[in-house]
Amino acid sequence: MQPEKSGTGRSGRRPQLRRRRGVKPRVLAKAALLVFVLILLSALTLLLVAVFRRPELIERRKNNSGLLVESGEAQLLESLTKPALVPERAALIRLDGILVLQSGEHYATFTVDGITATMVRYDYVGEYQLTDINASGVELTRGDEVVALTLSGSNKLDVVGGGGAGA
Amino acid sequence: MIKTWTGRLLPALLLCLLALCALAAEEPFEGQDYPSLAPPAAAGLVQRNAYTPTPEERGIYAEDLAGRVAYVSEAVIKLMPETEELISLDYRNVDLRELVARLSKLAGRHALFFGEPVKVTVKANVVTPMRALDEALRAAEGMKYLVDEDVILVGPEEMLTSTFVYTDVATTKPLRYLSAEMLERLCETMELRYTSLEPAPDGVRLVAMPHDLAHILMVIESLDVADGFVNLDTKPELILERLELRYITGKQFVNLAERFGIRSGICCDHTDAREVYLSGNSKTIADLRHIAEVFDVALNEKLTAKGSTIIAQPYRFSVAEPEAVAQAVADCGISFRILCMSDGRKVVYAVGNAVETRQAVKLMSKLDREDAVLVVLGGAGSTKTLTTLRDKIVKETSLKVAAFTVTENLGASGDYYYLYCVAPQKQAEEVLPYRMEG
Repeated sequence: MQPEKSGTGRSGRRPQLRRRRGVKPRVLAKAALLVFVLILLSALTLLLVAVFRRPELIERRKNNSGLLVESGEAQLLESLTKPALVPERAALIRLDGILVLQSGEHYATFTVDGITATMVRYDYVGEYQLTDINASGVELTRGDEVVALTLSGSNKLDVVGGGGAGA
Repeated sequence: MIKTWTGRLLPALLLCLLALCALAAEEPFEGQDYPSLAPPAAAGLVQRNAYTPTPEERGIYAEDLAGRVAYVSEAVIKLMPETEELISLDYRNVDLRELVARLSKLAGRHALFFGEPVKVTVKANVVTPMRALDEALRAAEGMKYLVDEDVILVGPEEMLTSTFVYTDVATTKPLRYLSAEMLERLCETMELRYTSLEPAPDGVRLVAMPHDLAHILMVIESLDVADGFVNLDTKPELILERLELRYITGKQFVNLAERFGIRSGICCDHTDAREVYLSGNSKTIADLRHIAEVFDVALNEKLTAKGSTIIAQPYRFSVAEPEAVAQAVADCGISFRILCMSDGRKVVYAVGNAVETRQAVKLMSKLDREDAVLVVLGGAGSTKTLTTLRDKIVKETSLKVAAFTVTENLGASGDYYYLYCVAPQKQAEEVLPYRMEG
């Protein structure tokens, strides 16, 4: 009579489940749940931050599906090309740029007390008259006072602070 | 132990979450620091060209033009050809919208901008406006443009996909005097398409394709001004007149009107390049029609073809009444084209090529004194006939040579010169018998 192989017979002792030493299944489940909660919270945080900072992103995503874009303010820039409206008496004038056309027309763009305006020769920038525009800078005149503003050097004129050109 | 760890970590995480949310809510958007580029409506802002109003005139403006734009120009106004020019530019830290607007106009198109403004630094030498726009948008990072006929769409790359031009765009636009219903009728008249146009609080909610949206916004910007309406207090009605141009385009006309100080009230027909709609009070509409009368003429087309630039050369009167002199010069028999605006400005414009305008301004300057009368004695194909006549008059009357002028060649096809005399009334009567026949 051959001896019965242990653990293989029906009538033998039920084999014991092998356990990892020191880690209980309940602890494992808790850890997994914690990781899941952490991931969920991080995703929620990112989503909330995105919504607070750029609410239109969500809106845009929603609308793209139906070929409709909620554009927010679609700005027609036509009015910016019209002759500029600037303060009659300016406190701070800053030269922003110069544009020269092939035909010889020169334009100078200024920020006058926070308002951006593009001018041509002989226009008024506050109380100063724009008497010259060339490729590197402009000349502003008020009575006998002549101020040169350049893009590479001093491009600001602080009228309140004494009328001098600053860097 | 885990229980304790979870118990401590969760409140900490929740606190972090709240802090992040609070930070996100407080942090300003990038665009908030940018100055407003919209034309400000506040009084105290003026549009001036090469002219400082006298204290008396300032008084008139304060009274008559309160809250409106005071505009007088002494700059030469040119009829710009519709050809794309090469340009050079150097811009430092400028609002992208300003640059896009200018470059689009130079490219003969309208710009519709989406998204937040950014500042850019761009330098380009001898390039086309569209190439310069490319450079500007590259500097802006993440911005792109699409061209749809006469409209350039500019916005963030992720928004402006290749299908954007076929996408419906929804936007809300504030209205001041127009109502949604009136806008609907205008769109119908001007054959502008849209998907929906509904009243919104203080404005209108528009859904249309970007190209059509740009045109509708243009109608609003041009016509939603107080001057174009009657019965503003009770039942506002918009005044709208159609003007057909023959030799210049609607865009050229709008540019001219802007340089003369008329900022709104003109709307181009997007289906016909030579048709415009005029709006405003009767004086403004009359002024606009006068501008068309002097610039939209066959002669200008001929002169332009010969390489001449058509300009409006201003002359500012100091003694004589501008309107009376303008009328006298216009009726004198020499084919001068004179433009006098009805807003009370002291500046009168001579329109034509450089020679014509120079001669007209010279004549106006001679008439800018008290009791000055103009007598045109005649015209001839050579100056010799005229100088002979002048010498004869000087010999036989009390008038001196200085009172006479022989013009430069003012012939449209061949040579033709004129002789005229500017003198006080009594002396002018002496020369009347010497006027040439025909």
